[in-house]
Amino acid sequence: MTITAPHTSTDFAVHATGLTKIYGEGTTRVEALRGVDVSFARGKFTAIMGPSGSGKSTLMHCLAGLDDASGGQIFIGGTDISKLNDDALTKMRREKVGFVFQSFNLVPTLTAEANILLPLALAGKKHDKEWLQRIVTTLGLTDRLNHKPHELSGGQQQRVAVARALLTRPEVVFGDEPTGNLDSRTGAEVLSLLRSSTREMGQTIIMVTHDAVAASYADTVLLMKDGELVGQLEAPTVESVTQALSGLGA
Amino acid sequence: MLQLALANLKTYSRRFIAVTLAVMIGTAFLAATLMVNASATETLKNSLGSSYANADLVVSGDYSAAYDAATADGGDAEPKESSYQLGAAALEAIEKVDGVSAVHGASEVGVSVRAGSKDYYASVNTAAKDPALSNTVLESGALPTGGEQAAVDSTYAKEYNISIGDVLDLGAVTSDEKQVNRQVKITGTTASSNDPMSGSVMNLTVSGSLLNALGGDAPTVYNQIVLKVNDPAALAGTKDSIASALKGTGLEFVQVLTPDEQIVKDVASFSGGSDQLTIVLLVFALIALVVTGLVVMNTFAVLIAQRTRELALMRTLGAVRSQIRSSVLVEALVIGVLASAGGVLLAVGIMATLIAILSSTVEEMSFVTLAVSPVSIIVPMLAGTVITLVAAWVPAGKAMSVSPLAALRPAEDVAVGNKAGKLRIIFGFLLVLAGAAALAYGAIQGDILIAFGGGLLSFPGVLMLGSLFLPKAVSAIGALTSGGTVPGKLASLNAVRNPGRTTATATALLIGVTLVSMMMVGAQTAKSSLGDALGSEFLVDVVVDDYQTVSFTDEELEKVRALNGVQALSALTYVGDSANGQPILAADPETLKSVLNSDKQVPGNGEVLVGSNNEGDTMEASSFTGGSGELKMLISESSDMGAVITWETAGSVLGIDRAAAAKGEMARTQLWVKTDDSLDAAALRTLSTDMAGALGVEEFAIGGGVMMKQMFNTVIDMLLMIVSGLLAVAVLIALIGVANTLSLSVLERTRENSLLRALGLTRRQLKSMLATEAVLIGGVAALIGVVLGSVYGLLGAQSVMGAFGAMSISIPWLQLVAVIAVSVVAALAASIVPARRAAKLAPVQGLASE
Repeated sequence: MTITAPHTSTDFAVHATGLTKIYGEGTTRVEALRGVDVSFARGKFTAIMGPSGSGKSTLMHCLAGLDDASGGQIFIGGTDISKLNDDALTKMRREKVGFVFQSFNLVPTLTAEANILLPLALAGKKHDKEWLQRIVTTLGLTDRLNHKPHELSGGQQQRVAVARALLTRPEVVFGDEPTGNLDSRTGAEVLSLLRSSTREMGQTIIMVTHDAVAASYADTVLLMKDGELVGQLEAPTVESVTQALSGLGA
Repeated sequence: MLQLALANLKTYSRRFIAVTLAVMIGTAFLAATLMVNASATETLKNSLGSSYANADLVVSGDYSAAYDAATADGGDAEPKESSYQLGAAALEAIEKVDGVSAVHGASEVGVSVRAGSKDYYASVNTAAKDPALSNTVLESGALPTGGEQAAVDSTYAKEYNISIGDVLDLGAVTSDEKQVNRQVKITGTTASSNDPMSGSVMNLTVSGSLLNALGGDAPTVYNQIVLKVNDPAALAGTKDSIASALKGTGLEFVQVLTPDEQIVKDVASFSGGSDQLTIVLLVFALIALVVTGLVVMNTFAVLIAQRTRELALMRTLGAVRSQIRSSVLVEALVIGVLASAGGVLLAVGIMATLIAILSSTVEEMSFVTLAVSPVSIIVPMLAGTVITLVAAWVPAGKAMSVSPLAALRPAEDVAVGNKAGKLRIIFGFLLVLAGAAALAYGAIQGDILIAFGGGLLSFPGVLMLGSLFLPKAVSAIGALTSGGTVPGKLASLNAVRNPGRTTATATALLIGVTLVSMMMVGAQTAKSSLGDALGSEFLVDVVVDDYQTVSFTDEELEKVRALNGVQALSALTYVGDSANGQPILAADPETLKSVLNSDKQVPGNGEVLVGSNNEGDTMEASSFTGGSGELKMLISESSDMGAVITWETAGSVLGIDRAAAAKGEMARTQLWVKTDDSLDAAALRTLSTDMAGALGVEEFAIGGGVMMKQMFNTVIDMLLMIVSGLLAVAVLIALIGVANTLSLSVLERTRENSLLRALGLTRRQLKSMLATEAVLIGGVAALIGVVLGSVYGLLGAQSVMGAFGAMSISIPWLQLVAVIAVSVVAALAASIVPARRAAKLAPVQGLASE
């Protein structure tokens, strides 16, 4: 079964066909992904949901080039990343992919500003000052740039992580339970920021979550079970997502 | 990445303290070694160069070039003196050269000086006429103006109690064996020379005419001619004209050098000895640096294990592998450079202090100069930095292989992989096998070079195999000693949780302990083997024989008998000679039996005890009273002894009795003494002095096995002490490594330790857990090191002593136990700081931190 986000089929930020991922061998063999075909339209905020062990995290890792797929093809912005070697893959990541993690994952020794600029520093590129200014202002971090991560609240740390992800104007930002470590108020703040970045900056975002409230901020919700995509919700609400999840037996 | 590396260094600076300290000590050792060499050279320069301090050029004859030219055809002809000896003609020729403003020919004559009732030796020379060339500095009085006057250098004036106005008798023997005597009146004192060539004897400055007279008015030969030029800018031209002027007088083999060039030449002929010292010290510096490298490698491995998540995050954000590696290497580079610079500064400080102490307390050393040559800065800086970088290379490689996904896993300890490379194991085995074979062969053949090579091969092999046996040993000993307490069990599990780290930490200590115990066992075995060899070489403990016609009196003998430590003595009396010229000594058989080390050596009636240089069965002998006969030889293993018979034999074979012998010049000419076995070095020295005093002989007359053994033992002990002191630096660095490993483990296990605290582990138990871990690693390393070192020591001693005969194995148990004790206590001390930090942690705090 093929499910695509409704958009012109040529304009995909991320696109995968026949994606499989197998862990272990013999009796310990686990099929985490069983031939997934999926496409994510540019400028859309998509949530991937599913019960534990459904393969949603594995799907994200493979799409982001963090993990090798066992079979199938993955395209990010038209590049087939399954054929890249480690260095090329790393370069692709720093140019075309942004990440927001559950545990913020800031480098504790660097200031907020240095953390935001880190991907560009790694690439040895200069940053666009106006763009940085805009992101920092939008995310309300102007006064916090010289602080070290331990001097920031959880919400502030996550906003720094979002700024880091947006700065390179990547093809796609992957979020891995980005609100998992935040209270509901700051979580809502961060999700609003992510949603407005798709609306205002045209940023493609793919988020893995098991929180129905978080998923309700997305344009589209993809549902997964046992390594396969099993459903799709447009313009989700908390109720519709909860209902769909319970239909999966989650 | 540079930014990240620097931020890491700044934020985690405490984690780098220990590794910085280790690198500092290692480089300081190397720098100090090089400075010893440079300072020795500089000191020689200052002292040797004082003779030409004021000169522009120094002219000297080049005997070795003349000799080479004379023997170029393969013969052994002496070169013609006129081709290299500087005489009056040379002086004249130089004076005539354009641009030369002043010339002084330095010559000296050795004389004996009678001052008061004693004779001394003095070197007599003249002061340069031109004050610009003179390096004779008047301290008091006046310089000699006439033939009967002299100035003396102030050091020796003070030592020999000579003052202005004294009259000295000078005596010299000229080259044609004539005696010349002169009297001089002291007119003044001069500053003493630092030049080791002239500073070691009394210097007398006299007028030229007196010097000529003392030389027997023979043509003067100058050691050197020093000169000043009008225009120092035209020095090179003047130099050439002098050389060609001298050639014109037939002097083919001369050197015209600037004072600096001359000094370099002089120093080269003096510094051979200090170069060897430098080489020996460099070996120890190298050992210290290898240990440093291990500590650095270990530290970085741990630092990287701690930062796995962070490194993974960098990979996720787009850092390529090489960027990760260079970030780690930048950290290592910064540490290496800073620590090496610190080490060099430390070395300068230590050397400056040592030299200040030396020059202020030892008068002869007052001119010792600290020299910090560029080499002694650059080489240690490079070595320290390169070793830090090389040691960080392997951990940096591990950092490089962290997968980006590690950043997304929940925070948990990510163990650094520890698969011992198969290649390393195989290579290690090969090295051990080859080394062991060479060691065994060297020991059997008594060839120290082969054995040494074997040691050099096998020890790195053992270290390579360390990962096979060290963690297992730690875990086994831990299981044996944990005593069933929870902290004990946890400690022994924790100690081997990261086998790679345990191996590296233990290896660093193992190197030092192995080398120290090797030296101890080797020295002890060498001492006891030498003791056995000397026991058979010397038939008695102490022999008093001053090789003169002295007869010891009854009173003197009683005095010796009463000395502390003397068990028995036997006096030997000269009775005659053997046909081949050996003196025959007679003694009382009872006293002889009491002093000889073996009953079998007491000669029976008609027998003579002789040294191992005799062959055959019998010896012809005659007494100084005329009797003669044939004696049956009892050949001992001692090579250095006279022929000894009993009075019974003296009467029955040689026809001389006690009363007749006592009338000879050499009654009781030798004493053989047996001493208590328990006497130590100090007691023996006292005994030797007392004996010499009681008998009125010089101390060199007191010899024999015990004295000889004591002398060897003193030398061996001294060497052992120095070597152990040098190796202690390596052990110190290794112990810093233990503290380091432990404190990093504590940081790494913050979560776990606070969980244990939350579950009810008391602070005391937590501290004892960490202390046990440290003691386990330190103790096991020390134990294995001592065993390994003992084996090396025994094999080494066997290969050295093999040439001297059978080896007697002797293990200095007490010293070895002390080595283990010191290691364990030091490891315990190393655990104090990390344990205190771990114990400070509140249970909740630890669980909250990520």
